[in-house]
Amino acid sequence: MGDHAIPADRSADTRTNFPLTIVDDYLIWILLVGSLLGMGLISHTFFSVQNLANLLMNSTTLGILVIAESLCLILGKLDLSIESTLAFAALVGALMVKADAPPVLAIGVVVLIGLAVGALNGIAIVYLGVNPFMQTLSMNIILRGLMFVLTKGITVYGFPDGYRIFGDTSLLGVPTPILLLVLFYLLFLILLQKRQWGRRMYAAGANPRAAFLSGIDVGRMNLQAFIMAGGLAAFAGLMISTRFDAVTNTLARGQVFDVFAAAVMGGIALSGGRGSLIGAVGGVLFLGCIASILTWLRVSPFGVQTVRGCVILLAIVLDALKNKVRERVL
Amino acid sequence: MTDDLHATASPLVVRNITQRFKGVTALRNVSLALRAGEIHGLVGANGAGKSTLMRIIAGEIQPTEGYVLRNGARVQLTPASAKTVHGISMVPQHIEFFPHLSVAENVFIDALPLRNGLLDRKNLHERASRLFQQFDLGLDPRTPMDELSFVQQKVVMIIKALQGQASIIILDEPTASLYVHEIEQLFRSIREFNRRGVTFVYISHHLDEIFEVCTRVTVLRDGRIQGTWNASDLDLKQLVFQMVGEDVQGLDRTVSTASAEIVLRVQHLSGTRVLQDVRFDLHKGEILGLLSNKGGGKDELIGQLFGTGAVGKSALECSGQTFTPRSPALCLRHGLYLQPEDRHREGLFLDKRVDENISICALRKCVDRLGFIRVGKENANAASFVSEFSIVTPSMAQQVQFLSGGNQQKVLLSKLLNADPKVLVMDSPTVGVDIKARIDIHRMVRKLASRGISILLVTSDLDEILMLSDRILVLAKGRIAGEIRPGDATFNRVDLGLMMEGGTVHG
Repeated sequence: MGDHAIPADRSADTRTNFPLTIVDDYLIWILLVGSLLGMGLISHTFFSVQNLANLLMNSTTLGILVIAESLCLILGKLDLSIESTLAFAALVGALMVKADAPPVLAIGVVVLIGLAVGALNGIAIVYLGVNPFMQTLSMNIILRGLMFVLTKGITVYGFPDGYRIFGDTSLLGVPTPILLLVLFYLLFLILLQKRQWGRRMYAAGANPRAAFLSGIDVGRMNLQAFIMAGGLAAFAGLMISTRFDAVTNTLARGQVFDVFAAAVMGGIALSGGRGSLIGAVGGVLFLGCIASILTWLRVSPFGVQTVRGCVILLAIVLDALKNKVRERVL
Repeated sequence: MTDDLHATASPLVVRNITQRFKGVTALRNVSLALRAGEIHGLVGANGAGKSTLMRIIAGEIQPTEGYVLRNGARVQLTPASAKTVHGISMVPQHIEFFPHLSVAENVFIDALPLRNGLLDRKNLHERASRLFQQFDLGLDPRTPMDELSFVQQKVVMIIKALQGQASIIILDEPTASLYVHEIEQLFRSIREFNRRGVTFVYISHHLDEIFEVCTRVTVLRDGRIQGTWNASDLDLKQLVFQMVGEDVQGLDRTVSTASAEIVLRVQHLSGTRVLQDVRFDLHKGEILGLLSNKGGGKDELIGQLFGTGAVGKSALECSGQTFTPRSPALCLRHGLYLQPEDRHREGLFLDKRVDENISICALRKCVDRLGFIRVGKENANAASFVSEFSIVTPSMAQQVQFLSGGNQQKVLLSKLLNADPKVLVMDSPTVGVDIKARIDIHRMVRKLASRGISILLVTSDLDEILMLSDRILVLAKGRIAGEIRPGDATFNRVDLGLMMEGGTVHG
């Protein structure tokens, strides 16, 4: 009698609970479509190419930071320092071109700084065993502090054109930042979903001990993730600072919370090993949409903060509810 | 069959219980009456409904139909009332405790001794010490729970249930990952409490334990009661027949497939304080049994072999290449693979799909020429293992956590085999799997050896090691205490047991 494995209470196939898993998998897209429709109701001119392009354009920094954070989250770690890495690297690049350094060199230095910050975080976390939260929080404060040391609070602005190729140009009518955003997403999506490296990342996040015993160098995966996160953040800094043609001392300050909200809403599990960048894109666009709506409605900056906070809270609550439903159903 | 369902003397009766979960019927019209002061064995394959029944008795779930009588009165059980009002306590297979509190605090957490409203540590520790002495445990009651070994934690949690006011105690697989002498200790304790009037329900896959400790035994199959017998009225074969509904022959001792070629040479493995100059050779196609008790040094040995513990200086010689096992990755490159004892924590990716688990060590088999993973290849690759080892799963996409223990273990072994190991170290491969899966896994092991894979079978399970091994090494106190060929008539189980405890065997 081969059917001795009569389904017990917990052995139901995960995919049989059709409507609920749909909500689970596509929640963010439902929210996104909902907010787009809401937008359409508010304004008849919202669905213009220009408006949608603006939405995308305003999502580029967040979008790239979400990739960076997702790499860490997939491993069950987190990086709070990406926003300061972004700003600090952008500032150093800006100061270099203001001091007449060649733009190519400055761009190289910006990216190198990002990679170096990531490497420092990674080494401390992987090899010294520092808690990722404390490590990256400290790094965040240090880098922001260094910015004030370097500028004494002054905004640096007015960069040469050569330095602004990734922020203020376009190709075939499409702004470069949008192209780069799409490019980065495709690249990391393929790396994570279609390459052995990605499988090892997810494995190392889902069960580090089992991954280690399966021959995966979990420490090196972590180091790589933090280095890539730093590099991506710095590159995002290059893009946003050259688009605005300025680096303020508060550039991207507090943005890490939007990053977490987008990632979590997109289904990237804080516990590691679960979620894909596709969902994260949804999270990014949803937050961008909310921002557009608020601008459109001319909500005051103070109100914007409150609404954004509520949206983030909503994201966390939805995620918790989702897990609860999942537990009950399975 | 017994007819005391109507006996009012029964301390606990479940009557006509049916339990459905979302269309799946886990229990069908189950009735059972315990006798006061008995040790009642409950057996059945995984998925037969044992846990569901016990969770109903412990008040964790409410039955869809039917009811429970306690001392003749119908009761509505909740987890709290079952424990405090009705004296029913359950020790689950996977224990939960407060890792940062002391052993004593964990044991007495429900009734901590107070003085002037504050914790009376002196009293607490005295009581705990007395209790531990009674059970022959050399434990300091002040030790934080998380500093104990898994085995010790388990024993403490069983003692916790025993010391309460429970008059019915449900033990779910209490001997899982315990070693021989601890099992004996546990049995002594159970019998002691039984003499004092505690009624036990004893769930186990180890049928020899059922015969050793239980007075009666009930078999559940596919959610139905198959029958209740006095343990003395039936033998192992009859019991297995009732459980699986067919005559399952265990493997007879199998023919060795070992060749003269040495695949793995371990020389002078030491470097930790426990191991002393462990050396052995493993031949191609051989199943080498390594019998070891808790504290015998098996964890240290595996740690040294795989570079997961403290890195030793000992070099291994694997197929002629000498290397120092600094990390699992390095061992894997030399064809040395480990099936760890704890499949949930160390072996599987529980919330990943079956095919993803099977492919993780052999991703190169699932990629195209450009190095991109092909889902079709991965699926076919996994499917070949699923059919070869008859893994019961609805699809390749099923998450491993929803498979039964035996099928999880088969997935874990498939994952390792997929990487074409030369040497497979198996650490207690049949812990917590049901009898059918156990037989399947034993067949698997033999099959692998016949394909030329060398197997180091590390276990404390005497039956398993005697049945499968071509040679047996006994590891005791960090040393190889002896070598035995199961075919020899000159040794017996008592000698083996003695050797495991580190004693010497005379003539």
